[in-house]
Amino acid sequence: MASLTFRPWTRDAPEAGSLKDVLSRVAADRGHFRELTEAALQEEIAGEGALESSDSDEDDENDDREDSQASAKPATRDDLFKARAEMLQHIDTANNEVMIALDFVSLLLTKDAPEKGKTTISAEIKKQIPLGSLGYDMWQNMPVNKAREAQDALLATNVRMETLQRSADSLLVAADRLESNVRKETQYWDQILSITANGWNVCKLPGQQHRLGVTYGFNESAPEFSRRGIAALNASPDGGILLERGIGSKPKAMRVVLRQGGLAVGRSRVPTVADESETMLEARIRHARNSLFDEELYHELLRESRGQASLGVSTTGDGIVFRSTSAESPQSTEVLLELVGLYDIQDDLDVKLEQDTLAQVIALVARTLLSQAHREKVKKRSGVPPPLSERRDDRPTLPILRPVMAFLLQHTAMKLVNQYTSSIGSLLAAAHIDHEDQLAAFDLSKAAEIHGVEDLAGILMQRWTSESVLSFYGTKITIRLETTLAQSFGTLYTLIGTNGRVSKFTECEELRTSCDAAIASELALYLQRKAGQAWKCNVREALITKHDSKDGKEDRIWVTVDSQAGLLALNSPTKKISWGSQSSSSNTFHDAWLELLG
Amino acid sequence: MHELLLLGQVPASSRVLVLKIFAGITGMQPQHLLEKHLVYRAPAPQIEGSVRYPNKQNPASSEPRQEYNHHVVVGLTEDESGPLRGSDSVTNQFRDLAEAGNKPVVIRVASDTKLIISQAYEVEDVTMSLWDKIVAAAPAPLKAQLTSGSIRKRSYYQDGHRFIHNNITIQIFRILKEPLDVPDPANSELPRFEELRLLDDSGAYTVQASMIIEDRNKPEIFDAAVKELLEFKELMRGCVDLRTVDRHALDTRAR
Repeated sequence: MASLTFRPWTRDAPEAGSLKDVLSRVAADRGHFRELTEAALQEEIAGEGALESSDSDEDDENDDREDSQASAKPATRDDLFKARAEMLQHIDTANNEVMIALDFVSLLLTKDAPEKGKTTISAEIKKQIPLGSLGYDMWQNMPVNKAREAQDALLATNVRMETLQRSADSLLVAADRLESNVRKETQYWDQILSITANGWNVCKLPGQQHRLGVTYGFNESAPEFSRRGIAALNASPDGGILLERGIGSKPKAMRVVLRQGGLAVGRSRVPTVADESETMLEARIRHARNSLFDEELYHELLRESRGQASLGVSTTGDGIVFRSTSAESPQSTEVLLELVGLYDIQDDLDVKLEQDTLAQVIALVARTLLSQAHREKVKKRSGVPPPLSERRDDRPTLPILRPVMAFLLQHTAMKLVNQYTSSIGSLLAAAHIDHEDQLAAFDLSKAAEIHGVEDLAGILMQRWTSESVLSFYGTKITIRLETTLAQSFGTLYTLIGTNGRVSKFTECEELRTSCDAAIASELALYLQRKAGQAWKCNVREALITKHDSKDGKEDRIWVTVDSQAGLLALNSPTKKISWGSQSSSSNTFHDAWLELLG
Repeated sequence: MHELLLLGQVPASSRVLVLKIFAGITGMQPQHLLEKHLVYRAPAPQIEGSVRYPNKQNPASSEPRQEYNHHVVVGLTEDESGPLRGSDSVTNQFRDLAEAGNKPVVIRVASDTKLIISQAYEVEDVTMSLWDKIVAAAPAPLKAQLTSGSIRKRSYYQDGHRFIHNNITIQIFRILKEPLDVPDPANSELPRFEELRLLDDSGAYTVQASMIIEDRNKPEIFDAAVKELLEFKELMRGCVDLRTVDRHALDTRAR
């Protein structure tokens, strides 16, 4: 058998390869064209056999050159790397530029020679820019047209001037606005400073940024009032300050009205409201503060009156009413405390009534007591708190109404007692009995010790006492008055007779009758002493008797004193001599006595 | 009664600022407090509800009762360039070890008893030292405790200010030691304020926010008190850092 040898088909010589492939092969083979020169390559071809050695030689040469280079410059290694990096960077940039130029030209080409362009254009450009969209035209250079150029230049200048003008205008407008802002701010802050200079506290509003407010309330008020005690200060468009809407616009004040028999006899003063447009900011704040204080005062009075209903205090639709005596009599004064809006009562302010002063005093005292209650609150909460327990303290009622009522009751009682004393005095004078009386008055011995409002308030809280003394024929009758609302309503009258007998009453009428009886007894005793041993005196009935041995009958003479009827009388079973309002005898007491005897 | 506490620290430089902040919050001026604390050892008092109620079943138990450091706190007033003077507010204070566990505030049994220094002797009487006067004024059981072998009496001073905010007592104070060259400080005369030395040389102040409650076992009171203290802590956030401390740092047991 003949052996078969298969020879492969001859194939065409492999393509020379595009330049790209050749280049890549050379780069892979030789390194990137580093030491490749024509001369060296020709040397290589000449020394084919020694190709490997020349390769190694080249490598050696490369190494040598490297080393020489390394030894030529010290620390060249880092410089080398830096130079390498720089070179790479330059090449990168150059590559980039070339690719961009390539893309540009290919894009241009795609219009006229699409296929050629498509092959060289890069993928991203193809994606982003539609092909054939860049074209070119060749233009002739236009001749220089001086006129048109001048016009263009003029247009340009004009446009520039216009824009400059516009920016200048806007700057001027901005400057104007800035100036007006500065002016408004200056005014605003001037006013704020004037408010603080007058003592008002300007502070940040809680919960609202960029707004200031003024506090005019009181820290120690009940929470619902202390919360209202702050008003925002708003800037008005012209830079002034406006108080928050509604503050100080409907001011209220507390007024005390004294009434007797249904007619007003005294009224306390309320602050007048000036014309609104004239009122300064501070005046409005002051009005707001006064109104808040009076509203709180009225509120506390209401709370207190609810607990004092047993003492005769009642609330009507108008306000709080209480009487100055426990009995209904035409003498008794009714006190009405009401909260009025200042604008509602402007008409009847001019009338002056007789007891205006008393009403004004009552109003002042009430306000002082409220301030004192505030002070007490501060003191109480400044002390170490008691240990926490389950007891929950309700808000205590502030004692404002009670001291006022006590004062009034004492005042009325004193008037009554003084009336009585003077009537008795006139009766005694009619009977030509020498007497002396000392009228009851408020005990102001501690007035010299008052150093401040706190002392005054302390005196107001204590019980009121006064004394009235009636003395005649060497005997003395003392009437003491005491008012305190702690135990019971009304004044406590104490009658102290000559023998030291003390009796207490709660009604003036009882005092009157008792005192009349005491005076009669005293007169009887006096007569008995004058008359001698034979006569005996029954003190309780103001009766003197003498047992007459002649007839077996006894002579009786008794004294009656009736201050209600205004009568002082010396009586015997047969005759009566009286002095006083109805009929007055001109005898003295002594003469009358002798007359009756004889 | 129990005391609920939160403590914090304030460096000397910011003390004035913190005082002003407290004054603004509480709406009152600071009350100056200068106290002398005399420390003596005695067993714990028998307080109802105390953590350590003595063993009732075995009263004659032979184990030694744990002794605690009690304080007798004397209020002092400062004279212009003169020695300190004792006022008549003397309190006998006992504080137990704080409760264990992860509590929101420090809770411990507290007992304060006010002693009435008899008017028979002025507190400035130089022949009788302050300690003697206190012992003389103490009621019988306390007197026994004060005189029985409590030889080791230590004393220190506490200088600071106090504010009250609703139910919380806020104190800001620092501790001062006796002057150096006094042999028996608890028994001798009161020094001048300038002679006292700082315990902490940096001059830092301690802030204490405390509340006393009557009954620890009633949840309404206890929870309300804890809530109030924590709200106050939140209020002071950013100004003073109030927190609980390790109970052993406030240990009053005598060793």
